[in-house]
Amino acid sequence: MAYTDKVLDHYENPRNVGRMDDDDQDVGTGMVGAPACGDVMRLQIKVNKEGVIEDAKFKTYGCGSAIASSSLLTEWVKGRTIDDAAKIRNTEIAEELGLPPVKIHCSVLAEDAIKAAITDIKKKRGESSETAQ
Amino acid sequence: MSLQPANYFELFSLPVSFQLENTQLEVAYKKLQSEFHPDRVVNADDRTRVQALQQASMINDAYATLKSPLKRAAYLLKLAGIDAEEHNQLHLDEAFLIQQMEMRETLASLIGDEDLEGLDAMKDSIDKEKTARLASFEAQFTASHFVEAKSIYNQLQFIYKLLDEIDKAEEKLLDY
Repeated sequence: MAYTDKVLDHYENPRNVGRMDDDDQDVGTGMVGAPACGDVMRLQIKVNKEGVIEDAKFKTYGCGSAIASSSLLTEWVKGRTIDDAAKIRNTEIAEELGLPPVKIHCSVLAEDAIKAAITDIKKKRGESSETAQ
Repeated sequence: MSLQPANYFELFSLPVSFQLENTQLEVAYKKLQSEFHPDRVVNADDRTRVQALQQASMINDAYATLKSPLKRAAYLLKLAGIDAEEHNQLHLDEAFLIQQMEMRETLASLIGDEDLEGLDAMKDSIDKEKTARLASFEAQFTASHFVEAKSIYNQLQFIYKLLDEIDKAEEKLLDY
């Protein structure tokens, strides 16, 4: 199956690969996985006091589409508020990357990861985690 | 001749159970394979030949499904009415995912160091985890604890994938 140029670009030059200190009170970590393909994804956001995502890092062990989905997502969430970032839908990611139907679940994984990271930072700050739905 | 088993286990006259006698499966498979080989009906009408092909293909699918412990586990869950592939992040244990991530990182650095011995050692330890989880799958499934069994099955999917990645890495290193 051929990857689109956008997927290849993110796969070959992934943005924001890395790791942040999980003990940092301003860092939210989302850890998710897809059993069917054995993919694991870690997505972290650094959130300032105003609730704006200042930085985002990810590490994904999986296929090109999963790497591209998480890479794109880190670019998108930077500068957004966490409430705004929580509204990103996997369909937007899939559309931007031109993912074929069989790879849609990779974008779902990325959406789950940002939701999990937001839930984590809210939990750290003692806020309710209702937003991550 | 027509084959209409209730399930793959019945096809090979095996009990519906995770525990499986490999030789029994092999013998039953070889027997069915020769009995239903499409070559036997090469001169028959179209309908018979198509049916023979379908049966041969079902026999092969059934064999592949029961032979692999992972596929057998998924198949047993399906027979119990559980969709093994359906999953929700909330059902995945976070500590397990963190551990998987760490193992992937370890694997990446072993590959970077071209450390074949390290890869072997890692494979041994993951193999042990696999064996232990297969045993607990069997225990939970046999006790009809399907939710727990499914959760172990999902973990096994990651473990099999990891073992696969280790194999691929070793093959690549040995090719040098």
